[in-house]
Amino acid sequence: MANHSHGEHHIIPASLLTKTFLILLGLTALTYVTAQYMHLGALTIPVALAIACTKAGYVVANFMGVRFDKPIIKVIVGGIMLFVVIFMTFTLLDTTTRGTVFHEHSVSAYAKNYRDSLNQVPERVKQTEGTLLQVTKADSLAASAKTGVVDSTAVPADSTK
Amino acid sequence: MAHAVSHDHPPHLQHHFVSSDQQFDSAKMGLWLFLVTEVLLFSGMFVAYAVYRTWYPAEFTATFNTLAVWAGAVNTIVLLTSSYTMVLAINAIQHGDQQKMIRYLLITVACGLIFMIIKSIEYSSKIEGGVFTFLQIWNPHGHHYEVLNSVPHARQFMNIYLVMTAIHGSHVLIGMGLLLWCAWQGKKGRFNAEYYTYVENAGLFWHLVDIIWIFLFPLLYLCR
Repeated sequence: MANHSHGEHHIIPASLLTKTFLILLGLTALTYVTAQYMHLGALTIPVALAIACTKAGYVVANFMGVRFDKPIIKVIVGGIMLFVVIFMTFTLLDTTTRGTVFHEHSVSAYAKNYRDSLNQVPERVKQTEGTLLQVTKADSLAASAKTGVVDSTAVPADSTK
Repeated sequence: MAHAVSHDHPPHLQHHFVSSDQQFDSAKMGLWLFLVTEVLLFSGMFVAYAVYRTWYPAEFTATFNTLAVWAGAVNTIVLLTSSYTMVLAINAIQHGDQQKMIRYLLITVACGLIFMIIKSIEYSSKIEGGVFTFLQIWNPHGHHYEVLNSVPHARQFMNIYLVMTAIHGSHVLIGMGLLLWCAWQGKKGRFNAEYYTYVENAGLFWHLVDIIWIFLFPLLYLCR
């Protein structure tokens, strides 16, 4: 049981550190050239992200030493990467596929179709909205008269006394 | 057993740990769990970036066209260099060379300082151009920024840039403080090849700050 071994930290060789640093500088130049001088269009962000992920991978593996670290640290690193991907993916699945009721610049085809259908029948939409508003207001007034509970949004301020 | 443990009990070993290794691994794992929360903090902002970018691609890139690419590029190289000198500092103390460690730590702090100076040059140009939303300034003028008057929601997108870089910048400042403290403790002779937990953990924090910038640089300054 007397395994109190001191000084058994893994020492990452300096040559590997230098090599990693040079690769990181090279990848920085690469991301600069691809984003600034090559016109990749829709691929610009995926390419930049791929290079950034590679760079981050080199820092995590060699500079932070996760490559040589305990399995539990690898699990933590893998776990957080998974959660960031879930966070990003599921948020974008929502926000990029919403209708145009809330956001006029939505990119989804569904949203565009919905906007077109609204433009075709503006009167009917306005009519429906107006009716809905009136019904809601009348309902809340009737409800407050019945129960004695005052709905401040429906009744004028001076009549609340 | 207890006798054997207390016999070769190094001064840095706290009584509730079995060994130096266990103490080191516990501290390191705790720091990694803290880094997880840091990644979540920043990923929230990256998600905000992604959502607004997909909603308003043209206006978004028009706003980010006004950012200074040279500043972002130089700062990337500065931070990568600082990460390199950081691992060299740890390498030095692993070989028991405390003086070399202090030297590399101070170079790392100097890189952080250069980063913050360039950042403040950027920010002061934003104040002059009237696009520094932190001070409720929104009056884009001058040949560089006046185009933002015709970009819808430009203020919102400039806010995304400012908040992301400011929170990252505050991490650089905190990291510089931690490294200075490590250098000071090293000067007092606290660290050696067996015990350098604080330097290791400050280094991990510093690398995380570097990684965040690795993503911020292309997404803010280049993709437009």
